[in-house]
Amino acid sequence: MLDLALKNISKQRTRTLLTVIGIVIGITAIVALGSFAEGINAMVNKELGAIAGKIIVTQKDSGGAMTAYAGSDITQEQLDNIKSIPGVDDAVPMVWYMPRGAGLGQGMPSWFAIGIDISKLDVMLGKNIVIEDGSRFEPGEHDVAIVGTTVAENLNVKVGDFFTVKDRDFLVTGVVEKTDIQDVDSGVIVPIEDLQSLIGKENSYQMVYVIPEDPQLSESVADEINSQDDTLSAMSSKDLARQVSEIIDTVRIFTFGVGAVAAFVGGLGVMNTMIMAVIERKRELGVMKAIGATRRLLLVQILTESSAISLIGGLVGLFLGWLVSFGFGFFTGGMINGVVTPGLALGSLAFALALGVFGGLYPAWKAAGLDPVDALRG
Amino acid sequence: MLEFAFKNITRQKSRTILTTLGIIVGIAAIVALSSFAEGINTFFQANMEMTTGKILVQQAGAGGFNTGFSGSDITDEQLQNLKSLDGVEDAVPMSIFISTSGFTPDLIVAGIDPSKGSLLTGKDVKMYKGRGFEETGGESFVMVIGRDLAEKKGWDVSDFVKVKNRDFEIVGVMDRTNNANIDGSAVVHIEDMQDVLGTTTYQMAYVVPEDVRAAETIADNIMNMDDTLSASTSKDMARQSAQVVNQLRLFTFGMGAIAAVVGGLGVLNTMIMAVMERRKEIGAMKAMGATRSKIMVHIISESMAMSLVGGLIGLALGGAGALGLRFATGGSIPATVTPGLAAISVGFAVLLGLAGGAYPAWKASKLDPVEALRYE
Repeated sequence: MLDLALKNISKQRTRTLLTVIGIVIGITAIVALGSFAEGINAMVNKELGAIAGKIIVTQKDSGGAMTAYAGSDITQEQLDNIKSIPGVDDAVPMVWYMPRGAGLGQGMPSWFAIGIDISKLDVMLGKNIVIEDGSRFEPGEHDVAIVGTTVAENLNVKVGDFFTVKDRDFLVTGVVEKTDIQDVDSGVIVPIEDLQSLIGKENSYQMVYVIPEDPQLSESVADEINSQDDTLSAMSSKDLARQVSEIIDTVRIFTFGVGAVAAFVGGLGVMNTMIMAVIERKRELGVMKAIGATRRLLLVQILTESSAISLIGGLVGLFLGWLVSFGFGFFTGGMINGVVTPGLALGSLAFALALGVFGGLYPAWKAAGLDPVDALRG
Repeated sequence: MLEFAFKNITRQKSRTILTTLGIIVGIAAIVALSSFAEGINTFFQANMEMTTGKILVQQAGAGGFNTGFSGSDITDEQLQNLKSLDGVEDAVPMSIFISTSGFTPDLIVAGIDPSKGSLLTGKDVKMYKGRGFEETGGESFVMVIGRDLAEKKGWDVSDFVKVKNRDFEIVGVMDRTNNANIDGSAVVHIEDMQDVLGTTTYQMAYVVPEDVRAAETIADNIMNMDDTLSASTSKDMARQSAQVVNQLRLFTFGMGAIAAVVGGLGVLNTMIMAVMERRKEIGAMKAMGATRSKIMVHIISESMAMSLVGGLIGLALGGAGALGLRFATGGSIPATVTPGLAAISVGFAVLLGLAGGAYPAWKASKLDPVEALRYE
């Protein structure tokens, strides 16, 4: 059956080739764009992994994640209150500073400064960072910094150099080994008091990481913080993951939708080609019917041909889309790597197959309904 | 010629309809997606209108609109220095508070000096309901809101609105200015905004030059005088936003174009089939003296007729899609189909018709009449 189908569709080489290319382009678009969405997902999940089981506290109405909580002001008193809530193991405050040139339409900043108590850094990240060059600065030291690998590489910063944040120079004491956490790799970590005075928040913090005694209880501890102080917004890592996955799902739907429109147009091409094929082979199909081929057989015959076209297009498109997905990592400097997940690969092939069936159904129904007498006479 | 073309392409009705449908879907995708980029452009243009000829001064190193300008702190002393610069007519301080729901701005409140309001908006704002701020001052925690905001939130005069931790009384609703930034925002006294934000500084200052043409020089002078400040002229900002819009335009057009190109392949396929079917007829035309160029024009006008019809219908459907987008997002994305976008998308459709018809037309023009007439 498949043999015959392949033989039939190769009768009109140019036409079949053009039809396949239509499907190829559509499926390539689905896979390439989809890999971008999956890449964002992978990147975000890495970031989320670092805060798993913890609670992020910011001031309510401080602009949200999009504005990097820049308007958030949490006082020392509020910090002490959080620490005294039952079930809270520790609360680590932090502040940060983004250099000029970052923001809407100006691209991502090449670095940002994080002010944190250096002795709490590992606790906050949930893992022990490794200094690949130099050493950590000690608690109580000032005007010192450790920088992430991305900063060290892109801006050519070495141990012993001075790194200028706003208008203050920090002596670089160490370079952190690659962590795959964006905040650390692109971060310049400095003593919290230094950054506080630099950004004019001597007595307040932008964010507090709360570490619950039992990570399983992070949601209930977050609720407790919210109910104790209604000017604060506490989000457990689970809340955050939920919000983020909503956004990623939107990106997924959008990227699939755009690719699917192109693939659908390719499916129209399949339908066109199969209608032509049935008209051309009217006689042949009539003969088949006259010598006893059932309706079902003709239906399956035509559907096999259209599915073969779309499946070949799907496979080639999958391959090309996979190639394109490498391009994303290249153009974003490794920040977002296109990822072709098994689900994406299978989904796009299934979509291609569905298009083949969609495109073949009407012509197949027409072929099956042919009257042998009419067909042979025509 | 065109009549003939239409007659020919209607010979195979279902094939022509399917081919045209491919173009329709592709062009509709281009129009609908690009209308989004044009909408963003409109939004930026409204922004520009407010800043034309002025200089926006912020603290160097502070984030822009994206971070609510929250990192910027301009002191009273710096403001006085700005005012005393040569060629500066006035310097108007401003602070903005943005409250968000999820990831989108929910309420944007601007703190300004009401007596300088017209300097900022570049026009006199009329009241739709209630009153404006008292010229003499002396009132506090009152708010004037744009009409779009009033309608979106269902707010009215004498309602109270909570901004962070303070309650403001709405005293007036502004008439529509057709500037999305003003119509969708709330305005309060700058002192009250400072109170809300807990600062004594300003997030930004608009510097009004005496002579608009000197804006660039003054901006340079500001940065030379005080290197903790950054000053950008409306030209600088226009350049930046044009960059963003152009990238977005390229992206949305590219996304739609993928589908349209697949539609173009369909045209190519259909025309190849059409030439093959009409071999005899074309051979006869040639035998009777039709020139190569005549046959080429003949075939290409057929493919272009299909793509043009597809392009026009696609434009209509894409326009409907843009309206839908506008409606579905509650007007927060003002998707627009500009004449330029309409022209480009129909032009692209015609181009696809030309590209799809060229090879079959060339093939047809090369047919040997003897061979073609013999063909069964």
